[in-house]
Amino acid sequence: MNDPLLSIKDLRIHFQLPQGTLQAVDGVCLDIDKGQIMGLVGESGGGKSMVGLSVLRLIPEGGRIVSGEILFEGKNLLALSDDEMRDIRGADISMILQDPLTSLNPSFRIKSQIVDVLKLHKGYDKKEAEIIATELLHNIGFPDPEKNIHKFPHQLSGGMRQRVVIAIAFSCNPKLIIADEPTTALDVTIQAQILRLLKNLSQEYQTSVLFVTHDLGIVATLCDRVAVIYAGELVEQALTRELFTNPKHPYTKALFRSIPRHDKRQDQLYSIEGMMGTPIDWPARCKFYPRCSEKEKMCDHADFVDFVTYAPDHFVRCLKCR
Amino acid sequence: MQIKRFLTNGKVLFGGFILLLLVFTSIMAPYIAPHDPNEQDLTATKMPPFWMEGGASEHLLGTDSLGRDVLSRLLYGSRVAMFVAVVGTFFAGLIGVTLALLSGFYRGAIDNLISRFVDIWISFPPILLSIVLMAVLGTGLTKVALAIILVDWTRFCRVIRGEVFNVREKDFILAAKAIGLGNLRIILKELFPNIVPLLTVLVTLEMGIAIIVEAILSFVGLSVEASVPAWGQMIALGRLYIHQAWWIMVFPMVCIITSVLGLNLLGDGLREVLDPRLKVMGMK
Repeated sequence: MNDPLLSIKDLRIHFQLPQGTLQAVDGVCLDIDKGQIMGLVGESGGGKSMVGLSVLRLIPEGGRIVSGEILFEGKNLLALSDDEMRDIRGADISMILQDPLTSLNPSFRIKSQIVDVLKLHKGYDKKEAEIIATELLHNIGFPDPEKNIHKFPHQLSGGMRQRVVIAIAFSCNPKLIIADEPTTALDVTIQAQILRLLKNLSQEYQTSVLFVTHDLGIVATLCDRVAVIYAGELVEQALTRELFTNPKHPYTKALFRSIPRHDKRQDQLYSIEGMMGTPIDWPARCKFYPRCSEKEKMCDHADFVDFVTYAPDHFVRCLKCR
Repeated sequence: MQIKRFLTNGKVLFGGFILLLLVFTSIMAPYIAPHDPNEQDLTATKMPPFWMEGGASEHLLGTDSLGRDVLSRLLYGSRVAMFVAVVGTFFAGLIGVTLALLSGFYRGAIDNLISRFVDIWISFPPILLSIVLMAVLGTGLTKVALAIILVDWTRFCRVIRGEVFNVREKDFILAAKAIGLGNLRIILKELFPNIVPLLTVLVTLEMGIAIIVEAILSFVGLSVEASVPAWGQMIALGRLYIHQAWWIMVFPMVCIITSVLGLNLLGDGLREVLDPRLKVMGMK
């Protein structure tokens, strides 16, 4: 088997707060193969965005990567110099952010924003870059690119803006794209278009995608593999079909149960009891324990729960799956 | 569309007109002034404006106690005011904005250093500081400008820094980092264009302040040399004859008030046109 394109090993990101150490990401291991779309699912504050940002080494100020490796084509990104890292950003790894309203610079026409990336990484001159930018917009179904490329972001709709962001992300043919909830800010019909576009582009260019989301429906239609994250820790990882048919971790199961269903009458929507809270100075034990509805006696005293192989290619962090 | 918004705003129109008028008179003073501003005529001192008894069309706004033409002196005085307003504001802005961008973008230790320095600088009363500076530097047009730069850069730094803090948290800055732009390019190409609206407003307000500061300095005799006519100086002289010849003092005052009011209104109007939040309110 080939080496994975991206391999995150035991990543830990801590924030020093006055109240203590916030363990935003606590020992995450994740492999993404070439051309694969990996879903990273979890609730707000679970550290899923942080994992995405750390791959580009763009975690917010105050955060520190205390341990771990992020291997991209065998190179440890965490050991690169700032200049080397800048060459990778946008060229080999690019990013799609959540809100297309704010992720384009309001002061510039979209043309110059796409052209900038092409000039920076591919060394095209302005003319060439403009032609390629127009072509690119054509390919992703951006309406009337020759005319609309001269517009400012605020003159475009949300869906069109997100297409521009996607065009920028794909412009240099990156090998990996970090997509941080790219459809959350869009309405549902546009969501579907954008997702289909992402999937097609990923197949066409053999681009891997790390898709960060809280929406299991999106994961089902888009992703090849899924990792579920809770309080900075991966709790389950499997192929999408396997995870959807046979979820093992109580948290994953609870997530599935909280999806509203139209085929069954429910008086009250299910929600997981309690709040995740903020993982500040949490003890090293099962992090889901306080909210788990399936906990047993043996869970009370276990101080460390390891990731176990439940089935080939299906990993679970739960004592009951040993 | 954009231009129409500027042209339909009364404040922008009025302020812009005043600014253009000032630029015009300061450049054209030698050609449009009816007299040499320093030409004395001791046979015609304290002549009133032309519409009053004893006035003559030769001296439209009268003469001062040495028989010099008030109108000519006002026109030449606008040169001092404009030079100080333009040069002083430009360099004060350059220093203030540069430090603000560094401070706001890098934060941390750099921000601490710059901000504390600004705090200390601001704690000196500005008028006192400029008077002390002029006493040390000596008189002269460039020295007035220098004093104004040294006093006023902090205002730019403070205000712009706040805006940089605001803009740098926006996603497009993160997006710019994610496509591999370097820090310098992010500061110049991503941050700076987004503070230009605020900067434009600040510049017009600051020009008004510069004119006032110059007037104060020349009033106390610490600005330009006595041979160069300046509005503050004219007021200082006119103050002595306020009961016999009010026009010597009142006309330069009117000039100062109109210029500063015009610039402030221009700033205010520009803010209305450029600020997106106010734009939305106007559309309702």
